Amino acid sequence: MSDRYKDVNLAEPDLIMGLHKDIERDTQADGIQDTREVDIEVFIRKAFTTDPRLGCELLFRRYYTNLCNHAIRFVHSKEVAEDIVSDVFAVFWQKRTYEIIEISYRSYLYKAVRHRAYNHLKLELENSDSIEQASEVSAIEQLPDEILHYEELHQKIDRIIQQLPPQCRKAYLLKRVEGKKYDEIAEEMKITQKAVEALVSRALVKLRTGLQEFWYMLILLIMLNAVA
Amino acid sequence: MKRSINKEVLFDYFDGKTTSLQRKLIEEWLSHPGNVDLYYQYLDEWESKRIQYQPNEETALEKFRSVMNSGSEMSDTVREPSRIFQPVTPKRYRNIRWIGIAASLLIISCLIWSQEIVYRKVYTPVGMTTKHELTDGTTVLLNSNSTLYIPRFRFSDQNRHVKLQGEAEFHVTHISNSSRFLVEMEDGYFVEVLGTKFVAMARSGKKRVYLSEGKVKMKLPEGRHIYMQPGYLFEAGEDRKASLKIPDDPKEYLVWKDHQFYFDNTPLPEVIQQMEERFGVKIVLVDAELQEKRLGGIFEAKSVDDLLQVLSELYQIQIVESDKLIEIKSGSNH
Repeated sequence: MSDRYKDVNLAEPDLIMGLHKDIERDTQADGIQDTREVDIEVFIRKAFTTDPRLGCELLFRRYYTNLCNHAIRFVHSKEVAEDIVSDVFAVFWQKRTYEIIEISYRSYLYKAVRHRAYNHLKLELENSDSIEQASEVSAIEQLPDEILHYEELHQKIDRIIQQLPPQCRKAYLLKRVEGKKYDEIAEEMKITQKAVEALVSRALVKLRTGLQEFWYMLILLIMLNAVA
Repeated sequence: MKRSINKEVLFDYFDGKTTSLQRKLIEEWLSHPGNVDLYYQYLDEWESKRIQYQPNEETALEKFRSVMNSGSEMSDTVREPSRIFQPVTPKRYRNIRWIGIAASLLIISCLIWSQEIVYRKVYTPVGMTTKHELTDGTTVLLNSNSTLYIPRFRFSDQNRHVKLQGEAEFHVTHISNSSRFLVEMEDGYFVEVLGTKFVAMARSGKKRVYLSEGKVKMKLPEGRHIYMQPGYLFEAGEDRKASLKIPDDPKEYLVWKDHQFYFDNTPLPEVIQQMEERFGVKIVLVDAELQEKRLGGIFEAKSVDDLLQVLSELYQIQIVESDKLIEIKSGSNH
């Protein structure tokens, strides 16, 4: 089905960029999108057979922005989100994961990013944990319920943040998402640094308590999965 | 067959606008293996339509390229490229195998030589701790039998990169242009900070970082990262198993600053190992029964003899010292 790419010169940057644009255009127009998306995976898969480096680069160009945007839903920090996505790609390359995965690249990348983002969040909100858990990026099957829980987790996070009092939310977002320093935020919001710190920590407490039930659910699911 | 699940339903689900019945349907739909890939495809499409911010893709791609170029080991050195390091990386020498062993030896000695030139070596002898102030204002308290490598030239705002063998406490000054301070330990472990206070140790293959103030980013081999907050202890063993925890009593990691040892029901072999590390000696427990013994308490010891003295008061042991080796045997000295 991807025969039309057969004699394409994979090293031709214009073509790759062009293809990239095509996809973007298609995502705006519904309908024919499905077949196109399959095509890019097939196309990238083909690139991997001849030149894994190019394959990785294509994947990176195609998914980096989206993955960062997905990760930030969990971790609320640009820096952390970008680190997580870059790490996933680094491991993908270093461990030659592309040679062994049976699911689509996209599924793998999303799974890995979500898994890491989840572990980061957990480590940050809860106080202690072994990192080993975090390192195991699951190429393994996930239960449907587990997949869905990730969605519910980022929705829950968003809801908790939305429900914060406006000042509290603003301080939290400036601190976490924008990565600003307390004194900068204090200046911007025209309040004292102490007050900013209090607002941010109040937001974190809200998150921590609000998410408590989720940890148990997910841990339980992961354990069930490991047993199954 | 499950036509009930289409893109619209999933998009609603991602938006958090579905009923629990619909969720049940999606869950069933997902249990068909082929649908998982489709699920992530829709998720990706959904993300495309809800872009919240534009990360800098080009910079990130550049970094990823250098990760790919660096081969399979240690992506992390490349992430924070230190200009000084560049001449040391023998990349362009790699292809000229034909020159043979003689040339390799020459190159190796050049590398060692350039390392010597590029880095100033600070060593704290056994039984002492020494304090060093770096040009950026950062202070380092270096434990006994520990070495710190500081760039000789251009330890500047752009390049705050030191290497540690042994143990040290860092009090890193935050400088205005947000330049990062990087402590390289062996085997691809790095501590990256802006301004903060922490103790780092890299001895006998083990790594340990205890953070007292501020925030640090630990970079681990294989491109992993961990963010630490005050009170956290990071440990990695020779087997590269890493853990993060909050110790009840951080004294254990700090008492060396007062030339002390902290033991809490610590097995004797471990006590011995800590002595070996700090004093740079070789100690052997000759009798198996000694392996079982444990030791607790805080002891001040500026030399290995101070602690051997303590041991001989506590246990029925005999200590035989030669130039290279200290043997501890069961039995009395008398």
